[in-house]
Amino acid sequence: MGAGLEKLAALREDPYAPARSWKERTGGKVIGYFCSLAPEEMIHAAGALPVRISGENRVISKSGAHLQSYCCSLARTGLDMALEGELSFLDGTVFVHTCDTMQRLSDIWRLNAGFVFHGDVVLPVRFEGDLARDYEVKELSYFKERLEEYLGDIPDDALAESIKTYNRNRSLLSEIYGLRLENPGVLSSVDALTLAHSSALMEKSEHNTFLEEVLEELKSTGPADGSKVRLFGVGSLMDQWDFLGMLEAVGATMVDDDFCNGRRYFDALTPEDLAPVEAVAARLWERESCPCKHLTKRDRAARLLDRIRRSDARGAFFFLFKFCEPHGFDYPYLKAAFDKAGIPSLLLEIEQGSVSIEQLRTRVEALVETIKI
Amino acid sequence: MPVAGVDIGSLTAKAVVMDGNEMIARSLIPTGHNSREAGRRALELALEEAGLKESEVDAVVATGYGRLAVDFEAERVTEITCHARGAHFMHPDTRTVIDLGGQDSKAIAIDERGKVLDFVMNDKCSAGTGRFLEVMAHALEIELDDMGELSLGSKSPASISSVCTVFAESEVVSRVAEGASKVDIVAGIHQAIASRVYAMAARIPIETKILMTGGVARNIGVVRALEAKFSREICVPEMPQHTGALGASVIAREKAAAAV
Amino acid sequence: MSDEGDNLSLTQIKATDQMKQLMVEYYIEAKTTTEKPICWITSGGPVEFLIAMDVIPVYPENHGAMCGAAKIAPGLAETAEEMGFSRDLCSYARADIGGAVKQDGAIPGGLPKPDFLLCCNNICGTVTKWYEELSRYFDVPMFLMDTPFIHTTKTKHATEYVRQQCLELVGFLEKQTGREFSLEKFAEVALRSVAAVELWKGVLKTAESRPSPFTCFDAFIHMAPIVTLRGTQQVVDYYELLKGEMEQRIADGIGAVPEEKYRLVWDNIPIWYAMRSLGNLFASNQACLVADTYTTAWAVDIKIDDPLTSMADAYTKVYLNIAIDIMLDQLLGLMEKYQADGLVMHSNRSCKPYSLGQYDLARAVTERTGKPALIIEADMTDSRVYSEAQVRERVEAFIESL
Repeated sequence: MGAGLEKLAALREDPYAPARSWKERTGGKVIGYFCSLAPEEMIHAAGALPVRISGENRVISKSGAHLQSYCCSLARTGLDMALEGELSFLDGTVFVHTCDTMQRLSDIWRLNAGFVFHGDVVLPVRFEGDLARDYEVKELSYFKERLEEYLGDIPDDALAESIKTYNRNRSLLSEIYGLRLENPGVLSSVDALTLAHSSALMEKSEHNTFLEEVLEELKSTGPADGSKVRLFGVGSLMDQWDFLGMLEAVGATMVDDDFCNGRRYFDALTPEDLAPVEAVAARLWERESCPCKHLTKRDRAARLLDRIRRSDARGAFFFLFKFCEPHGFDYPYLKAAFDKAGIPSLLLEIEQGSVSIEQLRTRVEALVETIKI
Repeated sequence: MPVAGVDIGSLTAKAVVMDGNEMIARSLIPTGHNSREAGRRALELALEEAGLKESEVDAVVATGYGRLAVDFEAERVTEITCHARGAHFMHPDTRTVIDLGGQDSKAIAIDERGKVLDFVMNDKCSAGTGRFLEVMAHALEIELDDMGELSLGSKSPASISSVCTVFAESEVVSRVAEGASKVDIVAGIHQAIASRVYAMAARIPIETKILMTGGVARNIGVVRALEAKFSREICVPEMPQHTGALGASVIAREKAAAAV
Repeated sequence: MSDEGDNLSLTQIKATDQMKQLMVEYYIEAKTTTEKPICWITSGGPVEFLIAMDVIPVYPENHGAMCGAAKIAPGLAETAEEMGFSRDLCSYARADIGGAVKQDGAIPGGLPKPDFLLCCNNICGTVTKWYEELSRYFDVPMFLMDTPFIHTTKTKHATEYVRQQCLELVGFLEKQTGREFSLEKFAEVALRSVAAVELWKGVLKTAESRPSPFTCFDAFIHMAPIVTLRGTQQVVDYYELLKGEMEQRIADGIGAVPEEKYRLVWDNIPIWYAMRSLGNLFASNQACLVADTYTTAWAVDIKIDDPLTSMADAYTKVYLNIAIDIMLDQLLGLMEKYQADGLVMHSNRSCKPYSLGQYDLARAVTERTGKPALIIEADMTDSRVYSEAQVRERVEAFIESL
């Protein structure tokens, strides 16, 4: 294993270490966000560090006074970390309109978490049509103004520069995912997803250097074990590294995914020939969508099946947060479409902090047996 | 050549020894807190009954949640695949397996060769499992094994609508306070389990014939309630608890044959 | 509407029969019409456009409430759960999807099939996902009226986005119905809608009297017309009647709860299957629920000189589409206006936009007013997650603390 890959385990262990050390080193401002649709390039262009907050495996205490037990663990553990002071390296937080839970979490966070800056980006729910696009651009411009009030001017050329840096990152991640499609044994599912996940945890140009190192290492690795059962992962955020480790241990590997800290995070490039704000708006729109966005003309099942076919996956697993409405409503229709296409699938519902790998192992093994036998 | 299958569940460990096409011995013991020991003991007991030594067995397959803990040489296969194969071995026309065990419940759709087509399992909630029945028996101060027969005498089952074990327990207590008979309450509990299991099982294609396995299959009241809910006859094999171990030994037999 | 709410007031409201008849006639027309198209619409949707286009609006949420009150929602929800919809999803949606598949519900044969769908996300994001499923199931088009949530500021571009969507909706309806939209007719409908809303506000206002002539449990029953049919003349007539009766009660000194001692405000959607038991429980403890945040949600303001802009504005700033600190101001206003002694909050597993934030609201209300708040954990229609004994215990302890 090369130096690049060795860093990965540390990132899983302490995801916010890079942000804390960046802040210490530069004295710059760190802005947290939950949703991968956050216009990160704008924050980056203002000289601040955007960092994704994603909750963690923990037993909550303080957030229990603000959020009911039927709220997803992402919100409950994330808020708990903030209230316990574990996110004190943040100067502010940005909430993007996604689901009802995040919408309310934004209010509760603004009133209780005590960060200096609080931004809401109320993106349209419709992700098609001129009306929604026009609104999206205006809302992003409006948000940019709020951000500028706090962080200072964001000149167009700085934003254009940030877009380039981000696009480079997306291309690199895309290349690594591509390598794995060809030769999945070259990098484990855990490491592959950590690469994408960690992109949202550190300064982009640093991450680019890191990815370049990793890519070099991977390119010099010859053909690896290709006997594992190829699976496709579906869900919102996947941060259960032990689960992915178990997946590999039972003879399977995740060759591609639809997680918002995986493929969806780096999917599609921001156009470099448009005015910067319009360009940011355009990419959010074009990117593989999440079920919080309404699209009448794009069939999510067909798109996912297309990706499954292209990745030559033999089966799929849904890794969903318990109480997640957007994904929960899409599940029956996606499952039916997968069944029809002959893709066996598995539904796994989890809550951060009470994931039983042993309980999940039996299901995953049974899926693998179903495919193998 | 003899082979064996061992199924270490949350409450009981089972072993089956097969020779050729025939089951020649079986065992069943409580798992206790040491699943490794329980697996070994179940295997030894079954081998003893068959009059065999461990070295005389060609292949062993371990299944159940304790399969990873076993210290004897064995292939490990999940209980889902094993239940499917065991059910198919006993009744080749089985297309749906409902397995209600001590801590989990599952439904498996299988094809004409006993291959798993799809399956669903309960989440962490224990409603619909043996554990649920145990809690209810305790609340009613009756024996777990008596529940099945007892409930058959009910004319108007009490309504138990809660899906949560804790809530259902308090519902049972309030039904008692309202003066409902134990017979009707037990029948109501069985209906509640049937609804829960049906809602889970209906997520996979339900085809005749349905075979019910696991310890709860010994409760005739639950079987009848499930039949009413599924509007189909449910077949219970002679030894429902041994289905997983039997399936494991069927797989062991195939592995032994393939190795020759 | 259901046998549940009928006898909640110990003094029977006479207008109830008229309301029942109005709703029965409405459902009969919806079930039997051969000319008028049927559009399923969310409870916060701009129904005025449908009325003006002679489209019959059908409300799955109203039907969900009926199924909840009739205690048949869990059975319908099971059908959806068998299809793979998690038990953690909204129980209105589960019961509705189950009812659509089974063709069953609180009205014989279930709701009439939709020709198209109008979904407005000002009440939640759930409806978007729910209507997407309906659109797939019935294979009919869906129009999403997207009303951006108001966190700290209501932006001009958001109002403009909604206003433009109103125009787009007109085009959608013209295409679906093959009829032309008449601004004149729309203005008439909007006028009647405004009139009905004014009357409904007037009805709710009568509860400011001591003793209050009705409880929020009555309001939950009598809100059906304002939700479903505002914009029609029958609704205006109906609320005139109801308002008259309530004013008469005040004149006669009749209270909904005999010996009203405590006045409380209710928050969230009713617990439909437990309305009778809850109503009796509070009444027997001399507590009257004089106001609620739910039925006031339909008091939408429309200005006749610029109906589109004012509608876009009104539909965007409904109670569930605003941040909790703005909700708090409204809640405090309600408590003051109705001279409430406390707050009762239904923490509703099915409704995250209504329920998440209640813990903060409860604390803030107590801090600001010194009045206690009670939180009841339940679900609006899924009685399988309800523990009556636990709720009774909590309610009685709460009233003892007043």
